[in-house]
Parts: sequence; C-alpha cells; structure tokens
Amino acid sequence: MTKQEFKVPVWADRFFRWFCAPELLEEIQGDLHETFKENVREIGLKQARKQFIWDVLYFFNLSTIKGNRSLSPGNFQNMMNNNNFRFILRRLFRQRLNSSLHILGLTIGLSVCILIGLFIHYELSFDTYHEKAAQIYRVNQIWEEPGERFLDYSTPAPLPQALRDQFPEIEMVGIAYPRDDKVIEINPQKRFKQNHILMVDDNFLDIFDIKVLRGNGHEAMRNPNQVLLTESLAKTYYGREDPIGKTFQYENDQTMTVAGIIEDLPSNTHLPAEMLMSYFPISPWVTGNSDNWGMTFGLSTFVVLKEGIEYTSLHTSIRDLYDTHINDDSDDPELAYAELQPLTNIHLNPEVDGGGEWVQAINPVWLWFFGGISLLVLLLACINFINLSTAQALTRVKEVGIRKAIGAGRGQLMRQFLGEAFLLIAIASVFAFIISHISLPYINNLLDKDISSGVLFSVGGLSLFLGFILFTGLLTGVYPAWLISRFQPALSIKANHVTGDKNSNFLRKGLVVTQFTISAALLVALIIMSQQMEFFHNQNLGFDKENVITVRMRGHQKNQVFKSEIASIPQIDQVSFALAAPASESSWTTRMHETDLNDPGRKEVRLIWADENYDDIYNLKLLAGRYTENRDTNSISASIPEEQQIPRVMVNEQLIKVMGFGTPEEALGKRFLFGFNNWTAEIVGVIADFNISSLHEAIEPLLISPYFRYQREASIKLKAGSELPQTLAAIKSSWEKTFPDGIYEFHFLEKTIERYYESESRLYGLFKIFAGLAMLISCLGLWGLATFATVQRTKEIGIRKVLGASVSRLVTLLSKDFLILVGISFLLAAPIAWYGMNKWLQNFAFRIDIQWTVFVASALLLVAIALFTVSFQSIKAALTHPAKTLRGE
Amino acid sequence: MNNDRLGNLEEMILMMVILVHEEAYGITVRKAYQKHYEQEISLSAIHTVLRRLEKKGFTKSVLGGESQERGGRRKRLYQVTPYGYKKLTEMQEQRSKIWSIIPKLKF
Repeated sequence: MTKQEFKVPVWADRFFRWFCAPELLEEIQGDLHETFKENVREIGLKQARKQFIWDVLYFFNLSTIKGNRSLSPGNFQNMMNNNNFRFILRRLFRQRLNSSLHILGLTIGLSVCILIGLFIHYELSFDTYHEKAAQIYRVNQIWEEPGERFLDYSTPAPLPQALRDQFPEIEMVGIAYPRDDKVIEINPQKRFKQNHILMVDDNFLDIFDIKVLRGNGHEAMRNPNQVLLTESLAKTYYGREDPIGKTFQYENDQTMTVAGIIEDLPSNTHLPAEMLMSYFPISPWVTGNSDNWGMTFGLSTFVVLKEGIEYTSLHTSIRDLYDTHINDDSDDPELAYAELQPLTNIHLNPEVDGGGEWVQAINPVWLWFFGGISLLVLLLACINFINLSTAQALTRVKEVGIRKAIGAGRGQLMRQFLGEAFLLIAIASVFAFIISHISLPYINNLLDKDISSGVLFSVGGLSLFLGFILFTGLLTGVYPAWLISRFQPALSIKANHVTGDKNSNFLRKGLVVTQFTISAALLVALIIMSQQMEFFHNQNLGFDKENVITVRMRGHQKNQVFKSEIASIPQIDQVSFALAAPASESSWTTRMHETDLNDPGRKEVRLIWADENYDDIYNLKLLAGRYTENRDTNSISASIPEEQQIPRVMVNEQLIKVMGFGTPEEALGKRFLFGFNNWTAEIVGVIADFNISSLHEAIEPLLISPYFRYQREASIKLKAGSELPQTLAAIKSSWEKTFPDGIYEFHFLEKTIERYYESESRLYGLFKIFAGLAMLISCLGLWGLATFATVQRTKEIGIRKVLGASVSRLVTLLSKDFLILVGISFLLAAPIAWYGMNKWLQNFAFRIDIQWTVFVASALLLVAIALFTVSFQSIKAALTHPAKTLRGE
Repeated sequence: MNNDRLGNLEEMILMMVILVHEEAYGITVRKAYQKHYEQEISLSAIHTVLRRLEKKGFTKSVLGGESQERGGRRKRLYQVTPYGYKKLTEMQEQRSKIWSIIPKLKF
C-alpha cells in the first residue's frame, strides 16, 4: 500500500481539528484514522473517505465541540467566554415568553422576506436562462398619430427578411407566430383543443435555448407540416408509444408529422410553447400578406445582435426601413416604425400588449411594492426586537453589574448580548426557511405561478440570505447590546432601580410609533383595496351578465342550424349571435370620421357585430330611436353599388359625445364613416353607455351593427334556477351535432369578466396576507411592551389600589400611554396612506372615492386592536391584589 | 442528577468494555458492540458514552498504546472500576429476580 492510499479527506480532518475539544483530539482523531485505514482495506478508498466524513460529522455534537464542556479547565475570564453560549441558552429558556416573542416576530419577518424575495426573483428571472439572453431583442412595432401611440409586439411579414438583408449588426433573425385554440386530432377518439402552439423557423432554435431531445430540430423546422412536441405533450398525445414519425390532424385539414421531441420549457419564459410547428402559413390570408408591410397578424420577430452593439443605435435605420415601405402614403396621418425591446424586459413591460400572447407581463411597480412591503415587515420585526430587548435590559441590570464586578469587559458583554441576538435570529431563520418552504405551494396557488425555492439553496441565494441575516442581526443587536453593557456596576447592584433612562424610553416610543404608522397605513391601504376589489365585482356594468354562457361557433355559416338545434331545450331563455359579448377583448377597434378617414381628427371606435337579440339578452338601455334589426345590414350585398351600402347602426352615448352629435335624439339619422370597408353608418338608435372592456379602461365610443359575417360567438341566456348540468349537456350535444369536427367549449360570462381582475385580486390576496402579518408583528411588539410596562409598575399599581383607585381607572392609566402612541401613529399614517392609495386608484378608469369613513373605521379598528392587545396585561395587573405586590416592601 | 444511574446504552457499552478487557478503546468497543448486539453504532456515540461512563465513575481510563496505524496518536484505554462492576452485577441480579417472578407466557 502506498502512502497515497491512506489520505483522509484533508478538509474533514482539518474541520475536526478545528471544532474538537483539545483534550479529546488525540484519542478521537487516532480512532478516526485507525478506522479509516481499516475501512480502506475492507470497503475501498472511496467508500472509506465517505465514511470518514460521516464519522467526523457525527462527532460534531455538544459533547465533543470545544468550549462546551464543563470539564474544561481555565481561568475565570476563560470560563466566562466558554460559558457564554450556555448562559445564553439558559436565559432564553428561562425567559420563554420573551424569547418566543422575539423568535416569532423575526420568523414572520424573515419568512415574508424570503417568500417575497423568491417571488421577485422569479418575476425578474423571465427569459434570463437563454445563453444569449443579453443579445436577444424583440422587434416591437409602434403606430403613431397625433395624440396616440400603440405598441404592438407583432411585425409585418416581410420585416424579418429585410432585417436579415440590410443589417450587418444583426447576427440572427427568427420568427415566432403563436397559435391558440386549435383542434388536434390524434385519432377520431382522441382529440384535443391545443393552446400554446408556436410556429417558428429554424433560426428560432438557435436564438433561444431549446433542447431538442430527439430528432433533427432544424431540419424539421425547415420543412412544412413538421412539429416538435415537448416531452409532456408527447406523453399526453401518445402515452407510452414512440411519438417520432406519428402524424395527427391539425384543424381538421392538415396532416402534421412529429419530427422530434424537445425538453419542456421552464415556466419563466414569456413564450411557454408546448408545440413548435414549422412556419409555413397555409391560411390564404396570411400568405396573401407575406409582402404586405401594412399588415400585422401576430407574427413576432426576434433578433440576436452581434456582441457589443447598443440596440438603440439601430432604431434610426429601422425607422428608415419603415419609411420606405409603409410611411409613403402621405394622406395617412399614421406613422409606423419599430424599436427593439430587450428580451429580459418583455415580462416587465405591460405597455406592449400586456407583454405578449401568453404570459401577462407584470408591472414592475408591483415588484417594488412587494419588495417594500417585505422590508417594512422585516423592519417591524426588528423594531420589535429592539424594543423588547431594551425594555428587558432593565431587568438585567443586576446581571450586568455582577458580571462587570467579577471582571467582564464591556466588549465581552457586548459579545454576549450580540450573541444572544444572533442566536435568536439563527433560530428564527431556520424556522423561516422551513415555513417559507412549506407555504410556497400555497403562494404559488394563490398567484397561479410556478415559483421554486431552488434558488434559495444555491450558493448565491444562501450567501445573500446569510448577508441578510448578518445585517438584520447587527441592526437589531447592536443598540440593545451597547445600551445594556453601559450600565455602571456600582449603581446597578446597589439600587433596586428599574426605571430606565429617558433616552431609551423616547427611542422605544419612537419605534412603537414607527411600527404603528406602518401598520395603520397598511390597514388603510387594505381597506381601500378591498373596496376597489368589491367594486370590480359588484359594479353595474350597464348590461346583464347573469346566467349567460358564451359558446364559440366555427365561422358564422351554421349559426341558424345551431339555433334550431338548441331551440328544443326548454331551459334556454334566448340566444344571440355576435362578434363578442359586451365586456370582451374580442371586439374590434377601428377609426371613424364624419367625412374622411384619413383626417387627423379621426376617432377610435369599438365595433361589435351583433344580431337583433343582443340588446334583449344583455338588457341594453335605449335612449333614443330604436334597436337595430337584422335587416338593417343583411340586405347589403355586392350587387348594390358601394355608395348605397349604408348599414343602420346603434351607438352609445360616448360616441355621439365624441363625434359632437348633440343629444341622443339629435344624433338619430346622422351618418359617419368607419374603418370597415369604408362603410358609412347611419345612426338609428342610441343606447346608454356600458363597460365594453374591464373597469381599468374608460368607456369608448361603440358601434353595434347586425352585420352577420363575424357573428361567431353565441350568447345563451339560461332561465334562472334551471337544471344547470342537464342544460349544459344538452347545449354541448347540440353543438357537437352542428360541428361534428369541432371541440366544444363554453364560458360563463360572469367568470370571463371576473378574469379581467384576476391579476389584481391575486396580488391583493398576497398583500392581504402580508399586511395581516405586519399587524400581527406590531401587536406582538405592543403586547411585549405592555407586559414589561406593567411589570415595571406593579408597585405603583399596588399603592394606587391601596389608596382606592378602581380597576377601570387603573386599566385606563396603563393603556393610556399606548393609546396616545397609537393615535400619533394614525395621524402620521393617514396622509401617507391617502396619498399612496390615491396614486394606486389612478390605475383604474372606474374607481371608488376614498371616503373619510375609511379612516374613521381603520382608526377605530386600530385602537380596538391596540386596546385589546394591551388590556390583557393591564387588566391582569389591575386585578392583582395589592398585598401581593407590596409584600416585599 | 441521576449520576449513579446506568442507562441502557451505557450498560450495553460497559459490558463491552469488560468483554474486550485490556484493549478497550473506541474502535474495539464499537466492534464488539456491532458483533454481539448485531446493530450499527457510530463512533461518536461510543466515545460520548465512554466519557459519560467515566464521568459517572463506572470506568477509569489511561492514555497509551500509540501505533503506526494511528499516526502515532495515543488511544484512551478504558477499564471497569469495582463500582461499575458492582453496579452491573446488581442490575443483572435485579433483572433475573424480576424475570423469575414474572409469569412465563407461551405464545
């Protein structure tokens, strides 16, 4: 055996030597080495080394670690040092209540920080995992005209080639065309409605980090009708069968071949595709526009810039490109150009069409907001800690005095108290780790996200967390340690004084005020937010949304067939076909003007194609004229000269206001042009405004025309109290009879509308939890202080009682101080909260007014909470028999 | 403090110290333990218990017997004290006494 083979893992050996008590070192190390050598012979070097490490770790226990053994010799000084740890533990156990208050507060604070940290990290991590992330940009198109500006992530079809040809700074150009809601037929029994299909070219695979597990991805994306499936989608489609080479029907008219398998995409990408399909557009409408610079249809362009290129430097030349191709029409006041948007910014910029087709971007304001909240909560916890420790410090005067008298230096004492703080924080952070780990699934559920705690255990995450702990420890520990170690031994042993000095009292009060200011502001914010949320759900939108389900038709041709199919279902009240329900994102937007659509003074108008039952189903309120009827446009056909094609329409109040048509009555018979085949509309009816989209947005001008071609959604009103499951089943089977090759889907309109406020209500849910925890921490602190204050004043209370003070007077006396502090806090918090919430409400076009009652209510609530917290202690103190407290005197 | 109590694990290990005799230190005691009780135990547990036994006065120890294998380090050799031996005997007697009076069951 050569010497080499005897090598124990050096670091483990060194580690052992470091922690092992010196008097045990020799024997144990000898045993360890001997065992190791024997193990090398018996189980081989590798296993032996592993075993050695385990053995060392097993020895890392209280009876072996140095400085812990009561047997250890040494002088007095040494003993103090060596036993610090033991003192601290003893103290924490003796002061169980106090220690648990400390730990509880810090645990909550740290858990909130960890969870919010993970949340923020997750949101910031979007698309950062691509190797070229820093060089990838999306091309956004901007339409501009006086007073208006629209951002769109979709670019004209000829743009990618033009960029490839004319820009040497660009290394690569790729395209992505998201498709949703497509019917996939594996076999007649196995059909799916598939979302998240991405049509891409082969460059896409080079730009983004997509791992092709099987098959030749590039080859496949260069040929028509080829798809790459993610692993999980392949499993859904084909189960255990080998998916490669299998074919399926796409939208009932195309055969696709599975050419390969890609790894599932992580959740933190803005394009979470499940299927990549080679980009060979078949729809004549798309192919017809492949050279059209003036048309965008959802195709987005991604570019990779060469290293070291500043992306903004390309903007002028891209603008030139657009000038030559689009902006040549001098009549049109509209101007189009494009800019690059860094890939990693996409998820954080909701300005561009909400971020993209599939994943809503998050407003970074929310991230700041939650980051701020988490720091506030931690601050509250730290304040608690400082308050409780300084209050307690007074009870430790004697301890400090004696320690000083037998020779403890100030540094040593500070170390002891800091050590105490750090131990508490260490315990709290272990709890916080566990709690945040356990509660993460709930938070994910609440936010509908897929945040993982993995980053917490990475080197970066752990060191950041340790740094954070260190910072918190110093923040909370230094002042109390400094304060306590300052006591004069002579004074502190001699007198029975637990009065505390003015300064620290003042500081404590200041901290309580800070704490309650934060809590009060959060409370007010919470109430106002909940009112706004309530408002979202209960606001009268101007139409009836109850008991309506919407069902997508396939085209409009079979609308009447479907209608007669469901006519026999008794529970159905009414059916209407339209482009979209009243509050929907699928209504169209176009331009209108009285005489010239190219006039700079033209206005935006929302367009809904709807049949004559629409107003009945949604109970739209007529202000003047009449509702439209089907014949108002159905008579229009190509045989009539275009000038005479004048559909009669109904419009909302906002439209006549914008167009300056006067009163509803005066508006009747007025005509104007709108941007659909340049039709001229004639107003036959004016209806009251209703909310066309979510309450975030103001009501826009709206035009409703019974033109039939785009009536591709059925609104079905069910009779109240009808047998829901049977009715829905009957509708489903009628639909399937009408469209044997489609996949049926329906939505309750109320649910659809609720979804507009989903992201707000999710984030609100999160805020609710954290604000609640913040309140809890403040109350813990207040409770701890009240406990201390009453203990301090037991004698005073006793004397007062003897002299005839009533219980209620005493409770008032004890609670008064705290209530004054809470009152001051509220006065500070109210304007802050008012300002902040006013800002927040500006985000919504429809919002509640902040009422003074909110402030009264939250002030009362706050006082009640504070009183409740304090009263436990004060009542207990006031009820104590004076004989008990004064006996010692 | 129950400083005169001999716990179960302590008892098991004390018996091993006696069994190994003369050469009783961490490793040999551990081996004997593994052999006779047919269960695993960590070296650190053996060491902790050995120290506790000594602290309670059931054993005494000397340092000695360095060897090449140990890189010249000495080992702590344990030996049972009369007190320890007496305690052990008492426990055995007590146990057999109890065993003799509990009803013999047949399963």
